[in-house]
Amino acid sequence: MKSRKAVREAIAGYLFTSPVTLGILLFTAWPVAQSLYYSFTKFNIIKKPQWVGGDNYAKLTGDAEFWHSLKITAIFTGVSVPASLLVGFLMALLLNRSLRGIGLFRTIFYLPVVVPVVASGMLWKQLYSPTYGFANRLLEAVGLPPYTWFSQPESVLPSIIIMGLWQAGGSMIIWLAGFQGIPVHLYEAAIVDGASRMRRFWSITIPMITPVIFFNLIMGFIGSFQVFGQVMATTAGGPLNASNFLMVMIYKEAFRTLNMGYASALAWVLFVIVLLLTAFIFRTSRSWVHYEGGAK
Amino acid sequence: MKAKIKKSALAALIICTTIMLAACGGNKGNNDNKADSSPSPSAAQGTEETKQHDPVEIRVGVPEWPGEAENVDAVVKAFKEKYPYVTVNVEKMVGDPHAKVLAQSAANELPDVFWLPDTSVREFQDLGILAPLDDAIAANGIDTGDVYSSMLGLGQVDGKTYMVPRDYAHVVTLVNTSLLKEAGLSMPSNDWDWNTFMDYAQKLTKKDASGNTIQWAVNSNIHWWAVWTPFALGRGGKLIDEANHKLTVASDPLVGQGLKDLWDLSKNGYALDPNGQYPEDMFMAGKVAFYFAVKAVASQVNDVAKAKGFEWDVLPFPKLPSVHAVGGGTSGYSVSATTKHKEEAGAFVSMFLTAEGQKAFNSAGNAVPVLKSMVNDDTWRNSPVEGKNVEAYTIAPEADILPILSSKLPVSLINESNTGYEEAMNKYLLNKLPLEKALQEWEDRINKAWK
Repeated sequence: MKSRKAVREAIAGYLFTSPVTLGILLFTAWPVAQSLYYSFTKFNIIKKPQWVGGDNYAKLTGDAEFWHSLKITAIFTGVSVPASLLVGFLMALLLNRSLRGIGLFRTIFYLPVVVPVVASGMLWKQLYSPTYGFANRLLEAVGLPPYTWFSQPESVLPSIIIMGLWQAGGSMIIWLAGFQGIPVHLYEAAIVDGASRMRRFWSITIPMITPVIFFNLIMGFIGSFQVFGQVMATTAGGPLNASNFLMVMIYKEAFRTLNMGYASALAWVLFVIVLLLTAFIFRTSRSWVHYEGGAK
Repeated sequence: MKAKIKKSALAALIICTTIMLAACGGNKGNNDNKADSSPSPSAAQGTEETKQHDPVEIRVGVPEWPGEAENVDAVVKAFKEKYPYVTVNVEKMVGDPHAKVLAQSAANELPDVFWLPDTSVREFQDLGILAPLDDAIAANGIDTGDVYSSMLGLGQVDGKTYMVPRDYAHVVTLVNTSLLKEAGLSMPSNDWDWNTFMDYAQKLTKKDASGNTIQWAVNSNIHWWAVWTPFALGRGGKLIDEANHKLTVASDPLVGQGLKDLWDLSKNGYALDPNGQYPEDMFMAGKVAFYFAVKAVASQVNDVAKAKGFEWDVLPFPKLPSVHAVGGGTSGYSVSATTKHKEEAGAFVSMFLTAEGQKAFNSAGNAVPVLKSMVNDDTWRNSPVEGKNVEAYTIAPEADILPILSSKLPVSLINESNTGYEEAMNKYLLNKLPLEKALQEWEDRINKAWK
């Protein structure tokens, strides 16, 4: 039997957490549940949703545009996640030393992350301008032919991937924190044992940094599958749908053509894909992520 | 003491939570940019109107771009003189107005009167968002015969009016006359045709050693229906076989020839490339000689031309080879189907079709009045500066065309058709498909769904 004091404290506790609980229920759980319901309906926001069962999901399987969007989203994720992990890692390695003014360099490399997505989109559009852009001036200066960047379907995906690398400073900070969390005595012991720089890197740095690799990988996958803002601010899915990523397609279906039911079905498929991928990475992490003290 | 603090904290928490939940409950009374927040005292003192009517408050949603709210405020002032018992709250529609109207309508928060472009009229009417306005227009004594019929038509669905046009936006050609002078060319006359246009285009286009255009003849505004539809008709083609419910952009080869005229301007470097990723508006940068646009842009062109040191003027849209067709997009104001103040909201939008409403709305001089009787009115003719070829803005209204596809196709296919145009154009321009195949894809895309 709980004392009256304990009950009062429990009520107070629930009341104190109620703003967050209510916020999550109202602004996350309820919309999520609604979107699941809408995915089984024909719904244009204004008129009442009409139940259509699994029609939206059936339509997906035969929708060439969906498969195209899924394909380019997967390619983008497959290339941009490892590339941005690598770039962030190399940047962190460079900046993980005690030099005069190192804080300033770290800030400079991190700055692109805080640039608003529309502003960076405008900037990259100008850089990539085939006739006037700095990117082609740079290629010309080193004797390379100009590139078409956002102007051609074939070049738009690599261009967006390069654009994304500009913001690798986000993962760099986490890498840096990981590097600085590696106990120095491990390196000291390795040096005493005569381990070379490479050996120390492969046998101490990499294993000790695997939780950071794991975290960056998960966040990178989730972020890449949801790529949206930078695309809308630059190519809006073009040219010829070559950058019509899944999130862009969902947005267009929902707010341009008002197929809210179909857009909800697309969103749920995207959610399941991200969930399965994340679960897969979590499962494999048992064999390659090492925590200090052996915790999993 | 501790218990007291805890109780106070809990009370504060409950109040905050209540406020948060209340804040989520809508904002029907939450208006910004109040043009007039209360009935004027003078009005309250005994005109006949106030004796007969209880005070009424209506909300008017306007897009957030510069000038629109100020122009509407001027209309509100004129309206208040006639309807002193009506309080008009002008609200800026922040963000994409199309999405905003949909969201507000879904939340039952739509203003009584709101702005919308011609291209949204059928879609919103189909969704049941718009109230028919013909009774209100008639009740307010509007002479619709004085309104440019093409502009009225842009606000109509099946002969009923759902949007009142706020101006006459007839496509013209803005001209950088400094570039013409540099090339030793004189200003063409108002009856210039396609051959003259192409002759000028060849002389005004400059390319560098590697063949890249560095000075363009025209910004063709290639995505805009009010430009491409006239071209599609310009060789005598027909876009639609209404009787058989067929799109005929490929079946009628004349449509292809007309569109080729437009698309080849970009393909051959005479016009800006729609995929060109230019760092700024190249007409404003002084690197383009002609620009297919409407008067709303003239004020900005005038400011930029002054700053950049070039001269400008205006010409009509050139006469196309077989059919003289000119596009004319507009936007205007509609009344919500769910408004509780139909009479007052209807009276407010009707103001846009009166001389005083047009004078008020055009006080900034950015638009051409939608009333034919105001064609010689100095308020717009001398704006933004005197001495321009302003006849171009109103010449040949009989050549005005409506957006054929978005007015004839089923509403569910309008977006599909717009996408079809964009894809056909891009496939042709990017050399992915020959013209005929690109148009065939567009035609098939629509015809397989048009029952």
